[in-house]
Amino acid sequence: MENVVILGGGIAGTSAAEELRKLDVDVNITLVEQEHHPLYSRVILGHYVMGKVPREKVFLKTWEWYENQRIDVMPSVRIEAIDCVNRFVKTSEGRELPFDALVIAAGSELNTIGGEPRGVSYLRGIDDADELIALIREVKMRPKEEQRAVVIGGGFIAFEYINIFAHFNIPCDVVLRGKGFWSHVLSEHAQDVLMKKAKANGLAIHTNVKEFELIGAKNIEGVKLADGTFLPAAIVGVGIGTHPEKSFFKEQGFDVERGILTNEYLETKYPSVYAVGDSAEFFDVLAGRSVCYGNWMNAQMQGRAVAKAIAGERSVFELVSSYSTNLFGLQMVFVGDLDRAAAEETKMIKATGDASVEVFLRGGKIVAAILIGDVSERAAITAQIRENHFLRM
Amino acid sequence: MKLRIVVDPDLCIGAASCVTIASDTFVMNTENKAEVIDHGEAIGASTNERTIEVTEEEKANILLGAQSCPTLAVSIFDENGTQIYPA
Repeated sequence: MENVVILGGGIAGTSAAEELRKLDVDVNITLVEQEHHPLYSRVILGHYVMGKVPREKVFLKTWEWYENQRIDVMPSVRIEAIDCVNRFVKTSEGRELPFDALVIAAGSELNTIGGEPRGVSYLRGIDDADELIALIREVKMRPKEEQRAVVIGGGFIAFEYINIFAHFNIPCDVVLRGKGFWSHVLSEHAQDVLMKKAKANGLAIHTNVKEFELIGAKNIEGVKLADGTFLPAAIVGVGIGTHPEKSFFKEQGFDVERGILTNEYLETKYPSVYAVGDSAEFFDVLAGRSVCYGNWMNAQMQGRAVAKAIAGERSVFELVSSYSTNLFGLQMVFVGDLDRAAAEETKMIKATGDASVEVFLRGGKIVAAILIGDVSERAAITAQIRENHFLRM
Repeated sequence: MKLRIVVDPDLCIGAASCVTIASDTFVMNTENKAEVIDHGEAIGASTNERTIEVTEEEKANILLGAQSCPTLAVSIFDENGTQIYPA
């Protein structure tokens, strides 16, 4: 193995590079990254915006680190073609990088809404976080009655926005497509628990909103709902999910469904070509089906796993990944394969006024859990999922 | 050798990656915050800070656990009180 090329410098790609260097001092490692920052933590961006950590603490690596590790990092570069037969990738600079092994760690793309006057905010990366901080500073200088925000969406990033606006005492309206928060993931009971928490904290929630319009020419002035309701806003925080890039990889010859398809070893159909993190759809032996996970822990551990495989330690990828968030301090933990539509069976373990614990099952085995307000069973459920061993058909 | 391991509860978001990697050293409490244990045992009151005796191999794994934290909530200090992570 002479040349390893890694596409994507996020946590998956950087973990692959870091681990590979530990295992092989000689191999040439090239890391191609579209952004222009060293590795940073997307998970800590909310803390950063709220001023709980300084900007420099958001960064997990420095440019010197790549140099010291002899990782040839190419920032602000896109990939234009991947040739898995002749074994090279072509960059936006017109360079051709030959590879013996290739790791695709390209992450996912943000879902966006059209028409974006200034004040419409996304929270994907550090540049977005910097912009949000500037927006909040401007809003806080306006008259009190103009200090208003709207959050569009009811999932992970929407919770971040809600917590951020609450932190800065900016009253906010929340616009949901379904009848509750994260309606395609959460049970009705879980949605009720979150709704209660949200209302107790003064949020105005607008449910079943199928269409809306962003109002404002240069700067955002508010959001107009289909029923005519106008929600004034100086900032609109949008958190409506992400999706992996598909068409580009299909054109390069990969099998792509929800993500680039791999087996339980994270191998694509081409020899020594791997896909990891958000861009991969891998066979999860703990869940019993092919899954796409978009969480930090999964990306990091998959990056590390393929580095081992490239260094000669090939093994089945097994991880019970999870992520965690909160709404006004109400803890939420999501474990395993959380596709409700794909669950064979769901079971409520606890359903009280302020807690909701539910598990998903396949073949009688637990494959996922959603814990809200009571996370005490997390370790026990995780241990149970870890015992699963489904075979690929 | 001895390591002092400290979890900042204000930064910890309960991602539990430290627990996944170094389950002998970290455990989640009922508030969904990581706590530090000593070789699988929580002797005394539960705590977010503990000094424990470790081997080289254990140290490497604990460092991996700390490095896996997406909010840099885990700090590690050596016997002289020098912070070894985040460096």
